Amino acid sequence: MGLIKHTPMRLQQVSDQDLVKLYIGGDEAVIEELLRRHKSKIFTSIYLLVKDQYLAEDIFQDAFIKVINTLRSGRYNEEGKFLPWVMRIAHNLVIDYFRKEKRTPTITSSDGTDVLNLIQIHEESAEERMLREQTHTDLRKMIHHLPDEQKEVLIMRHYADLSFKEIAELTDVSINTALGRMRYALSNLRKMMNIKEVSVSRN
Amino acid sequence: MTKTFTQTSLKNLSKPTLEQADSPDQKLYEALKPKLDELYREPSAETIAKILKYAKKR
Repeated sequence: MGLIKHTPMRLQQVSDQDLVKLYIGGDEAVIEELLRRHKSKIFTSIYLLVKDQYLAEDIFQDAFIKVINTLRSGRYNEEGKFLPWVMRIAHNLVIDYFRKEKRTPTITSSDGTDVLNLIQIHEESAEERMLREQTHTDLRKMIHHLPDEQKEVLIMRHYADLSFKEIAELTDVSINTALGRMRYALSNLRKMMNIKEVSVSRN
Repeated sequence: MTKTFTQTSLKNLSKPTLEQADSPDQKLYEALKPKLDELYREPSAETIAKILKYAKKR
């Protein structure tokens, strides 16, 4: 790849791989574009696994520090894709956390509502806000009730946007196993929704 | 009757998706997607700032 003189507009058209090369080559500003592209996918995946905003922030930060250190040290495997690679790092940090901790703290109010949701400011009625928050809480609870291996696949497929091949490699199972886990996850979500009489169309 | 062997498409093998089948699971996934999307959240600006600061330190 030749030298790329980028503007903010052009940077958006540069592939992840080329952004990584630019960073390794000394263009420190491009890490901002990589973060912009993937922060939401990676952070949501971590958050849904650990169930704690502050812990998710720490793991997200640690993951990117590892990413930066690896890029600087020249140990990055250029054959791998950037997002699955960062997800693998984040996933390993989550596993490390669960190995160290027996339980996962969740900051919730007495009715189980995520306290952090209450901080959000939206132009909506109190009733609309309550319904939205309840729907989110219901869904998060259902996802958390899935068996770990199903929860992992659902989060990696939907939130991290990984392919089943990438999920299979990350979790060290066959592609068919990853697919089967996704099907079980969806099936179990449906069962839980039926039991709880939760409508996915509720707004 | 002679059974014919259909070679598995490498494209499908490398990237199988639930989207390939019009299954009840796929329909449920499609129905769930908008709600699942609402659970997306962002890291704080403070965390992003710390990462960017670290990334720019050589």
